[in-house]
Amino acid sequence: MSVQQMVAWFNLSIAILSAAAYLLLWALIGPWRAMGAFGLLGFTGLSVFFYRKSKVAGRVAADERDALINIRAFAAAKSVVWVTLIAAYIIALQVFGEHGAVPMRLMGLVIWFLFCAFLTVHSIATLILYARQ
Amino acid sequence: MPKSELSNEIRRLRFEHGEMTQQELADRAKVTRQTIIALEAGRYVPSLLLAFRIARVFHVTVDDLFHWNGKR
Repeated sequence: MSVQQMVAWFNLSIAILSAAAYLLLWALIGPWRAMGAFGLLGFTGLSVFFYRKSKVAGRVAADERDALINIRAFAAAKSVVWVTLIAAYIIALQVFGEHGAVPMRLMGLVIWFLFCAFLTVHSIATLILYARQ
Repeated sequence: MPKSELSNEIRRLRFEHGEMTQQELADRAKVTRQTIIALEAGRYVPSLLLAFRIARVFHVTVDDLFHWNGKR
């Protein structure tokens, strides 16, 4: 398993864990305060430690194939984020009206959700592309 | 280009060069072992630069290493 695949599995686990923690906390303390669960996404920063093993061995950690897979996975994730963002805008327009005000905490929830969706799609796309090529 | 249109002689050349391991070839061509595995399986089409690097490891030309099986 390559370093990028390990990072993808790690990020996917964090995204799923964050979403699960949010849903669990929603039931206990409500949808707004439960947003604190998305703080778990900060653990994705620890993925840099996966690259240390390759560095010690003195071998190539990533090459052109890895870069190509990353570009394709990023494009897939970006597409999903854009579509979700546009859908969120249309839904907000319908719910709050043309001159309505969208609550800031709802905006926060949308941003967290998009971050979570980006990580999930990028990780899944990475794992699929590694299996295919 | 469909990947099946390009075949290669990497596996044969590795064994003709003292049963060179995939890791050894990867280190010399500056790629990961997974990329060598994908190349040998015909699942990945390399860049021209990588094709030249691998050819240089085996002291052959790119033409000797890769074969295009597509229709004109």
